[in-house]
Amino acid sequence: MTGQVLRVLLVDDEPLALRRLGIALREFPDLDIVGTARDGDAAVDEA
Amino acid sequence: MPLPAIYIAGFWFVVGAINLVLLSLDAFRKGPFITDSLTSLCGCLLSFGLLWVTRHVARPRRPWRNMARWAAVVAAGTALWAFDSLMQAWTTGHPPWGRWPDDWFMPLRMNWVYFTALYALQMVILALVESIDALRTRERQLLEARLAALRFQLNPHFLFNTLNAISTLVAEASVREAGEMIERLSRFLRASLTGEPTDLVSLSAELDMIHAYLDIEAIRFGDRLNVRYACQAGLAEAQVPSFILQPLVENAVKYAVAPAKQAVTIAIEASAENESLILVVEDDGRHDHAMAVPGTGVGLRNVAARLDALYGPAARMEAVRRERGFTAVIRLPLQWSAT
Repeated sequence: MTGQVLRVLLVDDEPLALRRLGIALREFPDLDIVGTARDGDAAVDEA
Repeated sequence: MPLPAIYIAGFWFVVGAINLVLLSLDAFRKGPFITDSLTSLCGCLLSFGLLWVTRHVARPRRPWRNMARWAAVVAAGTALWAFDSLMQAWTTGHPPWGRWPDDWFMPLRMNWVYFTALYALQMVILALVESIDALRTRERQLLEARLAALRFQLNPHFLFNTLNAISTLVAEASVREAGEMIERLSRFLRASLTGEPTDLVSLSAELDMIHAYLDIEAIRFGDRLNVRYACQAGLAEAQVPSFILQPLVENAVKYAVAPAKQAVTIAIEASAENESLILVVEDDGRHDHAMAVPGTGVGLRNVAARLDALYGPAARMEAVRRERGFTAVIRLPLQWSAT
């Protein structure tokens, strides 16, 4: 990955899984977590 | 051990008593009374000896046990015959040595056959009891193994989900929540793994375990999972098979809560009706999954099989899929702890 920042939307139906994903992905400086959603519909709305 | 010994003592007591009654009808003489009682006592002691040999020397599964047992039978018969002959010689005034009258020959020989046959009969009965016991033990072990197998079909996904949740909480440094979660998991595993599969537990213990389980699932599913408990007063100490509600609650979580977007309520109810304990697990989820058809799920089958093994026709489970949601009803005899 060179310079470009990936924008990431996290989707999972379990709150803890979302939190876990968030923690794991925070390690990568070239990922930008822009939001979370608990199901497909909410994800589309967020996007 | 004690039961056959009691039967043996009882048998010889009755034999002795009958002999004494017959003697007193015949003619009242002191000598035969004493000798016949002594013969019965000797016969009883030899019976105990035979029992001991069967149990401790010629034990089941020893290769030469049959030979040894029949040798013991003949030895006991001969010993009692010799004792009885000496006693008869003594009461009739003939010394136990020297040549005995010729007309004693037949009764004495028949006595040997009679005594030996008696001990042979005892040995046959002992062997019969032994094989019945062995059969029962095997049946019980089979049943226990089956129950254990049924119960330990505990969903491994649940364990891994919980461990993942704990690891998330630790990663977030949510120390208190992580601690609570570990404590709940420990409570749940203790209830599921340490009890005997045939154990009965109090309804309150069973509900505590369900509580621990649902508390864990509540953290997984957040506000999508609501739980309502409705337990009729006075039933806390009623006895239920340990882990009987868990598969039903697990089904509700798996098929109603997990696929749902909206909040789902699981209701757990307990009530008593005419000497029956009625347990209900109900949800208002959608149950799109094929496994949710009543009677086809592994969890439901397990519950039905356990009820059948423990209570036979006295208990039953009904599972009804409703328009929206699922209801499982267990009826079992209302029992209280013996203490």
